[in-house]
Amino acid sequence: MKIYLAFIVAEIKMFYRDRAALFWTLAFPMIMMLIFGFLNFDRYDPPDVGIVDNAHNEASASLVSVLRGDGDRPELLSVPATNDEPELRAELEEGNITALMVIPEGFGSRGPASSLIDIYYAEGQPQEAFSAQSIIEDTLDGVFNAVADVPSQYQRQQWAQIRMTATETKGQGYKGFIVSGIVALSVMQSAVFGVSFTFVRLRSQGVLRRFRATPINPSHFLTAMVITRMIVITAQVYILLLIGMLTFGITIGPGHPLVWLELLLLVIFTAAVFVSLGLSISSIANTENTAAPIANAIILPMMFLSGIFFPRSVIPDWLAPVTDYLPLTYLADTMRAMVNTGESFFSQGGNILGLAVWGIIIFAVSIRVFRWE
Amino acid sequence: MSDAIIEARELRKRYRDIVAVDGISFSVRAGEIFGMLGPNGAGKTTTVEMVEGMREPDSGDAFINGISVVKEPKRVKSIIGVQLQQNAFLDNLTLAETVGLFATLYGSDITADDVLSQVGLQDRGKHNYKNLSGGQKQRMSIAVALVNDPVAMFLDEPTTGLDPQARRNIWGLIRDLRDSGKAILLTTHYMEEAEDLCDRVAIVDQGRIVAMDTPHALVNALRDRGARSEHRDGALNLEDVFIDITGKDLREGTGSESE
Repeated sequence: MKIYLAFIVAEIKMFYRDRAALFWTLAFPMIMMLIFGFLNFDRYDPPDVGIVDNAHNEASASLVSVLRGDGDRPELLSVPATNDEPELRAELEEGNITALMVIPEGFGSRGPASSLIDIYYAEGQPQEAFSAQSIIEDTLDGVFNAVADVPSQYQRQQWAQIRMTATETKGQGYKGFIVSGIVALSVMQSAVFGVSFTFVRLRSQGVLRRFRATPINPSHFLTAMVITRMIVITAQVYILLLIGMLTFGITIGPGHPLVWLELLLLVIFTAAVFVSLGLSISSIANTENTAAPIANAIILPMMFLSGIFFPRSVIPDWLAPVTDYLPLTYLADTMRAMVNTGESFFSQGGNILGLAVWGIIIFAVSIRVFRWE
Repeated sequence: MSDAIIEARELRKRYRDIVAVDGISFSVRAGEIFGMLGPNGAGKTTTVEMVEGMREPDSGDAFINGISVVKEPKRVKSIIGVQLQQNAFLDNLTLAETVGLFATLYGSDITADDVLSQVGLQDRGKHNYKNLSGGQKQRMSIAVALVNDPVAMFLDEPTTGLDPQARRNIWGLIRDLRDSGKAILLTTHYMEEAEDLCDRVAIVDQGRIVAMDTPHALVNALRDRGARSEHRDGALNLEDVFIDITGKDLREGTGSESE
C-alpha cells in the first residue's frame, strides 16, 4: 500500500511539474470550451437574397417589405439595396449573395395563369437557397392573405408559383470554403510549428553552437532555414490545392488562372510573417516542452476565430471586431477571395495591409527576443 | 616559444560580477597534446571558447598560427577543428552528408569518405548519427572537426561517458592526430586520461592557471613537497596533484561552466 502511495505521489508531482502535460490537460480544453462556448451556432443568419421587383404593385411591395423586415418586423432575408437585375446576377455569380428572386410583372393579380416567381440560386449553397425558398413561400401566404384575403396555401399556388434554378457561380460552397480555409491554416501551422520546434531543438541540442564554431556567419544558417521553410510551405499549398481540386472538384481561381501564380506572392509573404512568429516563440521558449504550449496558445484560438472551419458569422458581436484583425483572418480571407472567387492578389489591399502590419510587429518582436544560445 | 600553434595571452572574461577567466596565458606547440584540467566552473570552457573565437574576451588575445582571434575570428575558425562537449548534428542526415555539409561550410573539397576513414568510420557513411554507439559518436564529432585539415584541434571532454575500450580507442586516435603534427588542446575531468595522454597539462582554478607542466613533473613536485599517498600502493598520481592544488571542497555552486 505504501508503495502505491509513494508512486502516486511521485507521479502527481511529475505531472504537475510537466508544463506540456498541464497545457494539454487543462489549458487546451479550457481554450476550446471558451471558444466554442462563445460561438453562436444557433443564431439565425438571414440568407442573402437579391430581389428584382418587376411588378411594382401593392402586393410585390408588401412581399418585399415583409421579407426585408421593414419597420420593427424581423429580418427574414438579407436583401441588398440594389434591385437592378444584371447587377444582382453578377453578385450571384461572384458568390456574394445566395439567391436572386425575380418577381414577374402582374404579380398579385389573378390572371389566366398564376405568376411565376423565379429564384436563381448558387449551386454550391443549396441548403441556404432552399431555406430562403421556404421563407419566401411562407411569406407569400401571409401577403396574399393580407392583400386578397386568400387564406390557404392551395389557393396561393393559383396566384403565384416558385421556380428554383441552380446557377453556376464562382463561390464554391462549403467545400471551397473549407479547402481554402485549411490551406490558409496549414501555412500558419507549418511556419510556426516547423520553425519554432526545429529552432528550439537545434539550440538545445547544441547544433547551433557547433555552427558558430565554423567560419560561416550563423545568420546564413538562419536565412537558409527560412528559405527552406518557404519552399516547403509553397509546395504544401500547391499540393493541398491540387488535392482539393481533384477530390472535391473545386475550381481554383475561377475565371482567373493567374491566381496559381499570384498565390506564390501570398504564400511567400505570409510565410515570412508566420516564420517570424515561430522564431519569436523559439526565442522565448527554452525547451520544446515550453515551445509547444506557447505556440498552441497563439495558434489554437486563431484556428477557430479566423473562420477556418465555419463562417465568422457565428462569432458573438462583442468578439467579432477582434477576429477581424487576426493575422490568420487576413490570410484566410485573401486565400478565399483568390482561390474561391478568382480575385487577384492585388485586389486584396486591405488584407495584405493587415498582414503587413502584423509582419512588421512580429518581425520587430522576433529581432528583440531572438537568441542563438 | 616560436613554434607555438595555439597561444593565449592574458585572457580575461567576466559575467556581471563573476570573474570567469582572470588572466590566462599558455601555448601549445605543433605535435603536442595540452590538457586543461579544473573543477566545474573553473573557467576552462570560457577560456577554450575565447581561443576558438566563439566568445569575445574582455581583454587579452589568443593567436592561432600567429593570427589574432580578436581581430580575425573567421580566419582563426577556418584553420582550427572544434569538437564540442555536447555533440549534436542535424537529424536525418547520414554521416557522409553531415561531413559533406561541414566541408562546404569550411570551403573544403575533402571527401566524406576520406574524413570518415581517418576516424575509422568509413563503413558508417550511410548511417544516421543517432544510431551510433557512444565511441562512434565521439569519433564522428572528431571527423567533423577534421574536414578543414586544421592546424589546431580543440577537444572538449572527448571521452566522457565512454567505456574503457572506447576511451582507449579515442586516445589512439588523438595520438595519431598529434603525430600528424596538429596542436591539440583538450579538456577533461579524467586524471588518468590527462596523465596518459597529455604531454603537458594546466590546472585551472577560479579563472587562473594554478599549475602547468608535464604530468610527470607535477607528480614529482607534489612528492617533493612531502605529500603522502593515500593509495594502497603508496604511489602519487595526477589526481593527488589536482586535489592538493584545488582542494577537496565540492564545486557545485555554479552548475554549468558555460555561463
